[in-house]
Amino acid sequence: MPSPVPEIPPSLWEGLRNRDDSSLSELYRLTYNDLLNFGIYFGFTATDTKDAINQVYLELWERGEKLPVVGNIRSYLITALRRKLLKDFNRENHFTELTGREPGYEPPYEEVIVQAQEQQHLQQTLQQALSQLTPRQRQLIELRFFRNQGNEEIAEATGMHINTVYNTLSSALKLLRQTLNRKEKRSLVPLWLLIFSLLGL
Amino acid sequence: MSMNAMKHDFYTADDFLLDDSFVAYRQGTDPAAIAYWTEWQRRKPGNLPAFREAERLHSMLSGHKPGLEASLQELKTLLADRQAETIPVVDFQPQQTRFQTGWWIAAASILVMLGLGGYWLWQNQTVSYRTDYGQQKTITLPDGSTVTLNSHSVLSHRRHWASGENRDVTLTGEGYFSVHHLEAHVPFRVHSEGAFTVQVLGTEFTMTSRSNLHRVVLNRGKVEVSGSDSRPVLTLVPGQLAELDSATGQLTRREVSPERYNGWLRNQLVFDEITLPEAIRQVEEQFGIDVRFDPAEAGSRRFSGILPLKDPEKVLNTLAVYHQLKITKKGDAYLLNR
Repeated sequence: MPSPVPEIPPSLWEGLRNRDDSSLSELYRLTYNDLLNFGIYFGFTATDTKDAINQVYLELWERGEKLPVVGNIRSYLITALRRKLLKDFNRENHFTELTGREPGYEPPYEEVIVQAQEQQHLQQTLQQALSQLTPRQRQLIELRFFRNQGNEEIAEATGMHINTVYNTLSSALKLLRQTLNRKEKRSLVPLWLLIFSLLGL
Repeated sequence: MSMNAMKHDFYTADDFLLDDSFVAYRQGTDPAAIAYWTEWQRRKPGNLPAFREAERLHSMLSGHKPGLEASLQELKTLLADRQAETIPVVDFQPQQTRFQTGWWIAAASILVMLGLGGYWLWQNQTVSYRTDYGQQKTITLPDGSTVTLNSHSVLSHRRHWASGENRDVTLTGEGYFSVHHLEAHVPFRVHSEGAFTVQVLGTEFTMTSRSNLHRVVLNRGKVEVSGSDSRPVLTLVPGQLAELDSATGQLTRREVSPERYNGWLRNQLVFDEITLPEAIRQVEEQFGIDVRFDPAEAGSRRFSGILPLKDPEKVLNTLAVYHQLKITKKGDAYLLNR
């Protein structure tokens, strides 16, 4: 699965070391989604990850010119976030899932997104809904809603025609919504069955 | 814009999800898109249910990510606060309160007058420490354990702790405890007025005991929480929270991030998936201000985030924006409404 990560200009890091406000904002915007995905892949909730990202940036800002000159900004940020998450945002139940899992290991999107749902019944329903999609449909859903890519970007990245991108996404969304909505109403089914069987008697 | 608006009024849930501008609004990456779709919702178009369905599905498929600009705004308020602040508010030096000095003088005179009998009485006197709204204070207890008191709190204990004797303190308000483990395994107990007692050997935890909120969050070690009656005690392991339901009197336990509950130690106000009324209560207790709002307008949205502890107006502003409410100041009180 391609994971397009925006290029980070070294000048932004230099700007951060000089406590330049607009460099901070630009760096934040460029790295936010990538860092969030990392935390989510790592088994943390999006909210916890967001708070950890802000704490990491807060500390970077405070260190200012004491920050080292960094070659690979992305991996520096990811290491800092990983440390922050493990040190300050660790919940017992997450930890047991995490041990032994390398940060480089990326489970498939379906698995991650299902894990990210807090309610158990939603996890099952979503899993079922996603399993009905073709691999192509799943890939486009991931690119659009998890990797934050626009329709044209997706067309470029996959080599598909823009209309095909629309149609594939459209049919995928229809399938997803059908399954999710049907499941929401499912709790009513036994009652209807009961009534019908009573009528039959 | 009006052409667009017309078109958008006939969108289905899938149309929204296929629209780059809608997705940019959900991701919080484009301020213009955020402004447009916020305004669009205010008009209450007929297809608002489809819009809500699209929002729900987007949230699910994105892993419930918070929007970018809102998160950046949170960081900015934290930073602004840090820059304005040169002297740390949390004072890690043990402090003696005037109150305590008073007791010293009183105790000295008793000592002179009554000799050893007075000395005995003095040892059994209760010492109290208190903090005002917006103030924090770190206290060193007779056994070397420390307590950092949050805003508007009182801690009291007997002045002298004989070795081998139980260590008892009483807390009203909120405090972060760092308790030394003594070789004699002497228990350390924190009592809260009529709610529950926490017993430990050596640990770190945050305890809150305010009017209708009684809570313990454990960072390290192990604690036992017992209610005021003879219900079975709860044992907590790190990362767990115990809370007393004031309505039912039931003690419950759940997993949390302990860091979220002692943010005030780092000058941060941490909100964890809470509704507006809960957030307002937290703000009122922290700053001692009066905030009025119509519970009917509060909605059910839950807010999570870390905000600076210095400025109540900044905190209220962020909450108001999140819940799409306006904030006005009326005398000493703040008013939140549509």
